[in-house]
Amino acid sequence: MILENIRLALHNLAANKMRTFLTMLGVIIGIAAVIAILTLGTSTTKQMEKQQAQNGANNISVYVYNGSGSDEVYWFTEDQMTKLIDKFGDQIEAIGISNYANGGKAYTDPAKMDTEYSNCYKMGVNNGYFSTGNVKMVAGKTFSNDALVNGSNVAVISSLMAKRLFNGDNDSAIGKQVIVPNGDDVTNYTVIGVYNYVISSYDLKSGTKEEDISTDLLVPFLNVANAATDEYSQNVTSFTIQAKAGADVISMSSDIKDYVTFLFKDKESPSIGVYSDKEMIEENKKELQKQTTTTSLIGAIALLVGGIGVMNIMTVTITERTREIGTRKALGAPNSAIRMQFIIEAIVMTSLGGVIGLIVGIIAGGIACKLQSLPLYVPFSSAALAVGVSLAIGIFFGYYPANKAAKMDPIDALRYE
Amino acid sequence: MLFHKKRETDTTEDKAGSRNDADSKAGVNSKDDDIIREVEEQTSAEADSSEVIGDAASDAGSGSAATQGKGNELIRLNNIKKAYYIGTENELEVLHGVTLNVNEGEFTCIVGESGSGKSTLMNTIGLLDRPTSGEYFIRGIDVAKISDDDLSHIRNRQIGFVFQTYNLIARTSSLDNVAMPMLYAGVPLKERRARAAELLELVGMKERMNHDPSELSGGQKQRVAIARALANDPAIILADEPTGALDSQTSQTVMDIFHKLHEERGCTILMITHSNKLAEECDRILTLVDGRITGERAGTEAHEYAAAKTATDDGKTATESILEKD
Repeated sequence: MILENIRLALHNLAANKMRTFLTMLGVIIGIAAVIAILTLGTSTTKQMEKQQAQNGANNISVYVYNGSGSDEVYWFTEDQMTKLIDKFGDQIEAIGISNYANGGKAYTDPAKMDTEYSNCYKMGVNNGYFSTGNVKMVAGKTFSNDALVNGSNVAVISSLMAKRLFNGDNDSAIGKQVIVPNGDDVTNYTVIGVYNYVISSYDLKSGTKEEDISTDLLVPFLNVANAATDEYSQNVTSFTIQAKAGADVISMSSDIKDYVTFLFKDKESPSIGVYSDKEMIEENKKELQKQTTTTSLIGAIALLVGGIGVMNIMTVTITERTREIGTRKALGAPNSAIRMQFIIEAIVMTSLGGVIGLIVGIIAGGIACKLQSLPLYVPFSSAALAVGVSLAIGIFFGYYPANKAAKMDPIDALRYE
Repeated sequence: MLFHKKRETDTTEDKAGSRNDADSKAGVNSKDDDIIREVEEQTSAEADSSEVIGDAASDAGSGSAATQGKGNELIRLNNIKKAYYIGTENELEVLHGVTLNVNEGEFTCIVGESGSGKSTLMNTIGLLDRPTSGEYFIRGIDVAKISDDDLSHIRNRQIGFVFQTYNLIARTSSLDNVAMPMLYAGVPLKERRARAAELLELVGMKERMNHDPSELSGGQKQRVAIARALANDPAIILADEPTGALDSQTSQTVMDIFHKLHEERGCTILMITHSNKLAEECDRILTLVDGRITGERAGTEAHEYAAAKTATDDGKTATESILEKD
């Protein structure tokens, strides 16, 4: 009987194609809007999770600054760092310290510095940074103890810089000199290693050409700190802890915050920040979820309006077909069959709208993902949602007109002009 | 036949017996079901003897199908009254106690002026409307007290409607129109279409079975409607002014189809008309005046169908010669 009704519904809907399409449009727009938003939201979340996996979500950033308003600069002393490592050592994989200094166009041959150059930011780091910053070496090695202690003029360069300055031969770059601007002056650094650099879509976003991309030139932390003239740059005011795999990063970060607060108990109003990537990602996800819910609500309003449109047209349809209803009743259709016929007609209409809306929504979501350089991810649940919601709309908004048709008096219906 | 749930060959005595059984049952709820089942059983018993439609015409010569079961009381109305606006100042009684019966195999006609209550009477007999008082039996079963759904069921299986205004479903082929009552009888699609095609052939509309009603003339529409009325092999065909919207020649063609169904297939037909000429062709003529049956007599005219049948000697069947005229 349901199959019969679907056949009948398709027949009747096809008889009035324009009206059917316009009625479905409300449902199509509503479903498409919700699906597009869900697709974009899910793709963004997936992308964040992917980055999280790449960067190692086990990082905890720690910083301190003077919140009292006085001129005193707060930093982490060697003694404090030692205490921290003593306390949390068994949970810590690595501690990375980094400190940016000025940079600019690096080159090897002053005669060709206008054509053969590579932009860089100079950054003083310790060896722990290679872990916390997810820096992968492709040639040479990281800093020796001597270099770290003395703040020597040695550097680990990016593979992009190696490509620009040493024709992409990473191994031949080892031991060569690069000239890096240092204010009005220049400093010569000996290349001791090359790390892998992957050009991201972000680098090229604002029309930057490949040769103008700036990469980090990694030098020993003290090389930057010793040359610095301000207390902030001379000392460690922030660092990153990489927790061991399997550690509970969120509870660990709260323990660290408590301990760092204890270490600074003698200072006047220190501001201490301890954040884990995981926490931030969770927070971002929550924020995204909130946005998705809000926008979906707008889509839901479109669906509601679409549903009312369906109800309106179904009411018109049963009025137009009053005599048909009367005839069917006279020929033996029970009320339930008439009700079923019109509910199914509404359901067929909304379901078709739902499927079209699903397709349109996925296409729209795909375009939005493309524009934001996100990999497209279509959640299966959205397909189930589209079909489920459109079925529900059909039943909910189809019931009233269908019931009205079912309750018609056959004699009145037959006489209807 | 296609629609039998149960093949039984009741004798006339058995039918009378089971009717009494039904009447004697006290439980009202279970009675409804019994009624439906009983009516169905009786129909199948009757239909079993009349073979498949296609064969009915060829069997007609023997007369066995046409005369089977003739004379049993099919419907009976006892003192049926129908009033509108009951309990208000405008209370209007349209039927003032109609008593009539129709026997199986009869072609009965009700004539009356407009306003005499013809339509109200027809709606009551067709179970579209409930009488205010009185008794109404179809094959001995009191249908005044049963539920709406059971009424639908009886309309579907026992009554074949033919309306003055055809009432075919728009944008739906003749075939699907004829198949429609079978949809509500739960007949599978393939069987429905096969039987609908047979019925359309019977009324000479086979060539137009894929046409929509909008592509048919009035007479053609009415022929499709008659085929539809036959869909579930009903106990009685109720025709409410079936020729009221047709010219006299087309009217005669439609009328001849009724004669053919009556004579060759033994159909029981109850027709309302205000055409005295067509009424005279029927077995019985009941006159309705102001909501009362005031007279009953036999029809006087030999109808053209019979004439055509005897006149045909060039090898054509009666049906063909009738249908050529439309």
